[in-house]
Amino acid sequence: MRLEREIVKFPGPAGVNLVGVLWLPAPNGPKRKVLFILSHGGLSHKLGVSRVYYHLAQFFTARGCTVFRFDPAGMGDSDGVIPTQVRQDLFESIESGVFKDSYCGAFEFLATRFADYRWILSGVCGGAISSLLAGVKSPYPIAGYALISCPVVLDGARFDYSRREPTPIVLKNMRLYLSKLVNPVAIWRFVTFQSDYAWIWSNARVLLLRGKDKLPVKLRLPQKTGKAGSDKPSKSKPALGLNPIFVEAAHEAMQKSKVLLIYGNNDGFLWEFNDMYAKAHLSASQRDKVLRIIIHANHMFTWQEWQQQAFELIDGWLESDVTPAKH
Amino acid sequence: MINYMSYEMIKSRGATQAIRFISRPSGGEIYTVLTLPVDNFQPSQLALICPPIFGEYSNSYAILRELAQQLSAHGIGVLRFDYVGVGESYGDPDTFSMSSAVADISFLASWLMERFPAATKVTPIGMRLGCRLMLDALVNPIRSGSPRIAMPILWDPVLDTRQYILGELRNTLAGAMVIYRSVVASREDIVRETLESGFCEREGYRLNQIDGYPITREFLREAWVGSSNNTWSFLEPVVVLVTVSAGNAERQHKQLASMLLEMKFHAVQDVPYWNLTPTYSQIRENLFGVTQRCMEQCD
Repeated sequence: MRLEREIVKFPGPAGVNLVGVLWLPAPNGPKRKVLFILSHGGLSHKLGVSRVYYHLAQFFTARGCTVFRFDPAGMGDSDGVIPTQVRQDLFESIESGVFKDSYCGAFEFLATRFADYRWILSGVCGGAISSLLAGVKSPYPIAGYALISCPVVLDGARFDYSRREPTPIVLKNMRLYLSKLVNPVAIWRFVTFQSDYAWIWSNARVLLLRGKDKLPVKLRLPQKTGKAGSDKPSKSKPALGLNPIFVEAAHEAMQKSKVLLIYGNNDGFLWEFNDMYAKAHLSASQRDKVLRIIIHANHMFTWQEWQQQAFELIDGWLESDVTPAKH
Repeated sequence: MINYMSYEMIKSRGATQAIRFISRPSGGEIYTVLTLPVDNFQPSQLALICPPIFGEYSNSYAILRELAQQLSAHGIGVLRFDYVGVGESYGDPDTFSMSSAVADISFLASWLMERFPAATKVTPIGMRLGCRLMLDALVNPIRSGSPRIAMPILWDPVLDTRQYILGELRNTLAGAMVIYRSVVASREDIVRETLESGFCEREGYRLNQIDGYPITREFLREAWVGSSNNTWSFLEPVVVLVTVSAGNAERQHKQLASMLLEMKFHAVQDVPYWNLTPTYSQIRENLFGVTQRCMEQCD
């Protein structure tokens, strides 16, 4: 079945040219008036990491949907430039909606051809939060949000990341090594510099710090501060916290549209969603309605088996939950 | 020496970007991005960029775009493209193989020379495994005596595909450990089973994959045949740029010298690109500068 693929250029913020790829279902195949809109995936462009968006497009165009993937300003083949910054600050800018204006351009273009379709915004990681933040500001109705590995925290170089990894994930990771403590091959690898020492230490460090946090105050070592009488500030940074922009957007999206949030259970973001967001902002039934977990999947849904499961979940949700857009 | 240009300077000087699918001779289409100087749609010098594959392709995308913009701002037309099975290009089957990538590189080199008859030189620039694919693709035009293929430039070349695949499969198995909590296969198991049956599967997951991209039996056959014994002695000298971050340039020089008998080797102090997810400071002034200088010297 031959699919139709079209390269699209459309205006973005400040007149930059943005680039997208539009996939239409085959003329002689099934037809559904559903339009998926996706942009970047984390820090990768419109293909997504491991070609996940390409595979999503294959899956849903084969089922009669239309899929539009585009590069926001500064990414992929679109014009524009993203300012130089450390990774955590780049994540912060994405989680604060830096690509909203690029989505506006995409929406304007798509409305000229697909105004009578059900629009589904989707994405993985940074693409998920970008879609959410842009969608709630869209002047065009959004029927649903299918968001994979959506971050709920607000990143930034000013925050303390030393305790970020959730304890269940760290324990799972450390068990892998503990089970090999008396394995001669594993011991040999460890002493001959073949083990991933950075990974082992980063996990162990989280456990140590969490353990230290639980100590009675009088048993803790004094915090490092500047010398007495000096102007050096304390080195402590605030911990990562819930992104208020996400909270507001998620609330609005759930009021106006259907929302599906998919996480892998090997992704610390799932714990952040549950512990930092859902516990405080969703009832149990609300959480059960929007949340789906894919066993073994990692954060970026690298393996195609996880991608397939996610797409099938989204397909089922489309049929059962997403109603036609009202104009 | 290239004068690095900011985005605003590039926009003011002008570079146009034409993105299109080009039909492949063997079916399907190649996603191409042609960046040209805005004041010269028939530049005398062109570059054909042969990107890395799999996860390295994603990591490198931004820097390759930046390179194309910088070169076109200096009057050089640049063609970038995606391999079938890795990017937006597609074919049947829609999986990566060396033969399809090599055929596409050959095709695009010819396409460029036909499309730009005034161009005196097309410089192939390969990155990582793209270097190996590019060298394999150059066999035919060089043997047929094409004077318009300039001295190839290789960034951090990966020429031994066998070692490359085995190295990348280590990451696959690291991911598998998190799922299975034990060793369920070795890299050699994955290669052997895939060569035998076309796949290596454990408890519902395919292990014959790198960064989520399937590794087919065809690709492994291509990679295993004469992988480490190739030499490209038929070629004119090639330029090799090695990004040096940890002082291992001498070792790389030795490894490459056995395969590239005529080589101009440059160790360039710059930040690596293929193994880092982009943070959008995609400037590699030293790499870009040395690249353009090499292109000018062979003009």
